[in-house]
Amino acid sequence: MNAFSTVHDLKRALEQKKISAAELHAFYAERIKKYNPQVNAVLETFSEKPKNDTGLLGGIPCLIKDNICQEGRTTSAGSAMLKNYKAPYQSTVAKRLVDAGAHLMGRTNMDEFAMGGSGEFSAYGAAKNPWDLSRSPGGSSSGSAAAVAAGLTPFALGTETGGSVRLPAAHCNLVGMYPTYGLHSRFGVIAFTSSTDQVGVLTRTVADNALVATTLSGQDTHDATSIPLAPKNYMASLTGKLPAGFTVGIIKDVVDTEGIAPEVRERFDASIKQLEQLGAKVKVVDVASLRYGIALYFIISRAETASNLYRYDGSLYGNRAKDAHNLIDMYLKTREHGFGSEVKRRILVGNYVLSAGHKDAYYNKAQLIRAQLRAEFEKAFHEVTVLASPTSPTLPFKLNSVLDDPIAMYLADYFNVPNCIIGTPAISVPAGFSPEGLPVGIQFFGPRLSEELLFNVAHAFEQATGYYTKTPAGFE
Amino acid sequence: MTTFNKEELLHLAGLAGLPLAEHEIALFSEQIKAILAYVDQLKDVQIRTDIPPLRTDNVLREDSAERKANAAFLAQGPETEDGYFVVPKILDEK
Repeated sequence: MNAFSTVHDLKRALEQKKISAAELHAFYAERIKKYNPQVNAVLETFSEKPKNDTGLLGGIPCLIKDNICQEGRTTSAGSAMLKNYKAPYQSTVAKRLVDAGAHLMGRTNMDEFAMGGSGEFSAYGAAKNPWDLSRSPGGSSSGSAAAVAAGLTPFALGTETGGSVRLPAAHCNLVGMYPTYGLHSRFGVIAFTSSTDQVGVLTRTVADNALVATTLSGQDTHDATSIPLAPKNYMASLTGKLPAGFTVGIIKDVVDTEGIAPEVRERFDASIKQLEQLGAKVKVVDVASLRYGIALYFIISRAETASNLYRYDGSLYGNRAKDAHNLIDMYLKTREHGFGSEVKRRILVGNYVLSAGHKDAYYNKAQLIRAQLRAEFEKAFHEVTVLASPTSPTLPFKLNSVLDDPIAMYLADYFNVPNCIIGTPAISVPAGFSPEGLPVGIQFFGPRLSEELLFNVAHAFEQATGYYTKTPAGFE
Repeated sequence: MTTFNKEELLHLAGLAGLPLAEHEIALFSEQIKAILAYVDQLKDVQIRTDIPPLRTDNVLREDSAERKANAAFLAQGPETEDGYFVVPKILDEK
């Protein structure tokens, strides 16, 4: 084994007693100590030794994004507001990992309250991309992606609201999925846009992703939006072949849209050719309302942000401003000093689109177009098996390049937000490298609850291409 | 085309309970104006009449306590006393 072993490799090594869970813990703890100063991916490492080496993930270490509650641990959501907040209960996803034998080793850096595409809005400094330390790993699950890519953990949990798992997966040569809304429990996940927030897994391979998704599966009665389904074994869906009659639909915007970097386009076209060699038929499909995705997402997510973040006022938990002369003053000062600029910007826009005189034109109209977008996606899946697009239209951002240009940062999620708005799944998988060696991702979209299909397609593509075997220099 | 100015920003900041520093007022006015100009494209979208609107259902559970974790939650309070959260006075002393 080595630092870039897959979860499956480590499972085998543990089962064959080539290594113990305690040795694995020590190995990754040492790597975090050595390499984290370069990538700033891990906010805290726990010293407790692993308790369990049985179960689907028995003895496998992992890291969890800082907005997912780990009981008794600091859970700050990348914000100064929750700097000293200790989760009083365990999130369902953390509980299920522990039940499967995983060893929760720490928490990872992220954009504040998961708002951002570059990781630079963390109150604890930006995480860096192990493939090029002058670039962002992508956000908002920046630390989770950077940690897996740098070999600081075999897998990590992230969360995604509109690209926050898939974008960093693409920028770090990893696999990441946005599951069908309601598939993974949100109980104990700090809310941002409740109608699209989901937990997603960052791994090196599709098989690893399917394995961790298996441990997270099944309804959670603590989350009212959790889909009533029994646990499922996603590993069984990996056949190594594309399904019979497989047709991949290239989203028409990929062909039409300017603003896709030539290096990304080259990788996308090569990936489609690769799929053809595996037997895929190819079609170009127009999902007409997709071009409104970013605007829809702006409105819906900012509205829900304004509502969800109103609770942070210093009364019951989190940061409280000192020297307040009355209650209202305490609320105001706490919010003024506790939130960073991106969070404030989003709260303000949210209040605007919900305010009297604007709600019909923005929020209500957005909900109507949302229904239209969903109908168009559903129709597309009558013509093709999956849809495909680049995960990100650009290579990983240079650090400090998008901080003052919010629209440029938001547009990186052009292909990521539409399916989140309608709650359907998509998986990003490595698609090779730019000439300068930066990772590029391709993603596949399927209908509601098509995770088995998506895992299978991504796995067949990955096995034929093998890009995941390449690792970043300098982290050996 | 949506207009957005400093007065509106300050009004929103009031609604949001979010005091802004001087540099934020200048920066956010411009940035939010650009964001609203971008989302204005939705105003021209024709809504098709053959698509039903999204439907949502409430999923409720019994309103009964499942866990007794008062101590753990109180421990997160910035200031507590005898099982209560302590906050500053609601009104200023006059």
